[in-house]
Formats: sequence, structure tokens, C-alpha cells
Amino acid sequence: MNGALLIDVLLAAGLVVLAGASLRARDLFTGVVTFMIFGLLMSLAWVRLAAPDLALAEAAIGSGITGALFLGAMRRLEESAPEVIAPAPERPPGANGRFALALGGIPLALYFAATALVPALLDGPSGLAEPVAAVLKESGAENPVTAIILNLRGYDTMLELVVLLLAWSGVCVLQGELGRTNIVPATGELAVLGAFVRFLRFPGVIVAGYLVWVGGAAPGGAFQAGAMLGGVGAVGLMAGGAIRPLYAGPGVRPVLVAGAGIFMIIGLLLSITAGAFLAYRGAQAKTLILIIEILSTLSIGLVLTLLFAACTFPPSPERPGEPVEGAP
Amino acid sequence: MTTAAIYLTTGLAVFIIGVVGLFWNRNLVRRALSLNFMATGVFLFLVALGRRDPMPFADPVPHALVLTGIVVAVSTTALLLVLICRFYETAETEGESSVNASAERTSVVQNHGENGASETDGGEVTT
Repeated sequence: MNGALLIDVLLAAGLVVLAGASLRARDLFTGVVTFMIFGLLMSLAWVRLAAPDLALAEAAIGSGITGALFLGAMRRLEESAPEVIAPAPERPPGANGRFALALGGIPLALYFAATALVPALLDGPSGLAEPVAAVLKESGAENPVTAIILNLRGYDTMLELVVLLLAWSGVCVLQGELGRTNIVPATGELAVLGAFVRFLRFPGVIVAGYLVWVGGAAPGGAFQAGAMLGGVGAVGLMAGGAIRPLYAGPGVRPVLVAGAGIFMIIGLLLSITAGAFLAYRGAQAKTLILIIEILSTLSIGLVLTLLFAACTFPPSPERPGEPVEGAP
Repeated sequence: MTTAAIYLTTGLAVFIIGVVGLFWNRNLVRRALSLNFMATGVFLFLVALGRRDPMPFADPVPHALVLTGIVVAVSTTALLLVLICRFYETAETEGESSVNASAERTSVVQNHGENGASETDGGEVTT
């Protein structure tokens, strides 16, 4: 067994052990932190699978933002329903556990049935790498993943931005838009953190801008950059609303729909001029992709910030569902 | 054993751990965590499938699919967590008349009751 395979085996074993440990942890906080460590190991696994775009996304979104969402929800439940956060009592599997284990056998059986019936599943030729490489020149991006996300399958990405908007709308239905009254203002020690976070937004925005720009040619892009902005926003909210304009300015709704909106506008214009939805090729593609990416980054960053806020802060009791000031 | 085979197996294992965790735990937050593990298992499996024959550059299509999947997973997790928070908050503030119902709901997370009704109750919230 050579060294690279040894790393793979160790990484794989670590992933399985951490996944099990996270779900078996008696303390929910331990479980969530183990999940975040699992996410960091996952980004190493993505590197081993030659997927650096996914490594970036996993570290920022899969581990970072998702972990922050869980920790935020736990902080909130600690006040309203502390018994949910309390360590679970030790208990035997019971009927529920046996049912769960039996259910876990189904994917295992399906996997063995599929590999037995279709041997090519494990060692057949994989993929679409060559067809993608053939059209890469016209797509307006040198990074094949960016080319697929923003050009070849641009339709999927547009709908994905709509999914983010739908999640935000669902949150608004459940507890109203984020109002200023929800955020606990920074005092004492938090005020120092607030000052630090206000400084942190500059490198945060620079890194996000770099990720968008570099995404055309190298790993990076709108989602990783948006997650970066979302992270800055989330830290700002944790510091007692240190970065107010991100979520409470008058332009919050236009920014939220900017990503999906520009996609639709460009798509519709092209369906008139070029004859097909989102059919950009060649010279114009690079410019259009950059415009879409920049606006999408802003939308994704704001949606992620607002989703984090919604998980962390309960609706204010005196004015539930108060709309954001200045919103139409 | 190739790199792809190792990560295919890992993806499958993580998915199964997620399935077992989803049905084993009564705590809704733990169930949300299990769903995230299931999603990660699927992502790993998908990308490993695109890495079966080692080429200088990997198949970018599963990468793009999974990148989309990661973002969709984080938005559904956020919605799910807000739903869970609202569920426990409203279960807590229910009036005296429905105190039995709310006690039954909290038993979903607290106790290890074999009550079929409370099981379906928790399941509805998770989906």
C-alpha cells in the first residue's frame, strides 16, 4: 500500500468515526462541534478527490456556516427549551433503534445489488470531462466547474438561487423578517469584539472579491465568496449587530433578489436576441458571467447572514414579524 | 483498492450512519444533524463515482452538482432549524387546555417512549 492510499484510508476511517461519534455524543454541543471537525476532514477528502472547489465550499459552507447555524439554534433553544439541549440519558437501542439499524441495511443492500448487477459502477469509464473540456473555450470560464455552474448548467444555478430565496421566505413565514429589535446590542466585552468585527469586514470583503474574480480560472466562485460574506455577516451578528447595513439597510430586499434577478433578466434578453435562454457564448460570456457572479455573491452572502440571524434570534416578543426598516 | 473505491465506501458508510441517526434519535436537532450527514454521504459517493478512472483532471460535472447540493443543503438546514426552534417555542407556550399534547411532544425528545403517535408527530416536523 503506497503512502497516498494510506492517507485515503486514514481519512476515510476518520470520517466514519467522526460521523458516528457526532451522532452518538451524549452532549449536543459535542455532537455539533464533532460535525464541524468532520466537515474540515471532508474538505481534505475533497482535495484527495481532485475537487478543490468543493474543498473550499465544504470548509466555508458545509462546516462553517452549517455549524454556526446549529450553534445559533442551540443558543436560542437554551433559553426557550433547555431540555432539548441537555445531555441525552444513556439508553438501550429499543424498538426505534432496531428499526433504525434495519433501515440502514437498505442502502447497503442496494449498493451491493447495484455493483453486482452493473459492474461498470465501480470500474467503468467516468464521465463528461472531455465533452466539457471541448466547449470550455466558448464558455467564458477557464475553470470547468465555474463553466458548468454559470454557463453549461446555468439554469440549475439560477434555480438554486431561487431555493435560497425560498428558504428565506419560509423563515419569514415562520417568524417574520429580521427586525432590529431582535438583535442584542453590543455591550461590555462584546463591544471590543464588535470593534474587531467591524475591522474584519475589510479583509472579508477583499477575500470574497478575490474568490469571485479568481473563480473564472481557478477554484473559487460566487458560492465560496458568498459564504465568506455570510461568515462575516454571521460574526457581525454574534458581536451584537456590529455590521448593521448588511441586514437592516433599505436595500436589503433588492440585494436579496439580485442574484436570481440578474440571471432571469440576462436569460430573457438572450432568449430574445440569441434565441435560447441563457445562451451566452464566446466573448460576451466572460463579462456576463462576472456580472452574474458578483450579484449572486452579494445575494448569497446576505441570505446566509439572514438565515443565521433567523436561527439564532427568536422573533422579538413586543413586535413580532416587524419588517426591516425602509423595506417596501 | 483505488482512491475512488475507498471514498465510495466512505460515502456509503456516512450515509448509513446518517440514516441510523435519523431514526434512532428523538431529538429534532440531532435529526437535523443526521440529515446533514446523509447529504454529505451522498455528495462523497457522487464525486467518488466521477473519479473512478484516474485522469489528470477530474470529471467536473459531479463537482458542480455537489457544489449546488451543498448550498441547497445549508438553506434547507437553516429552514429546518428555524422550524424546530418555532416548534419547541410554540409547544412551550401552549395553553393549559392542550398541556397533554405539548407534554407528548416534548416526550419525543426527552424520553424513550415507544409511543407510535409521538413518533409520527416528530417525523412530520422533520420532513
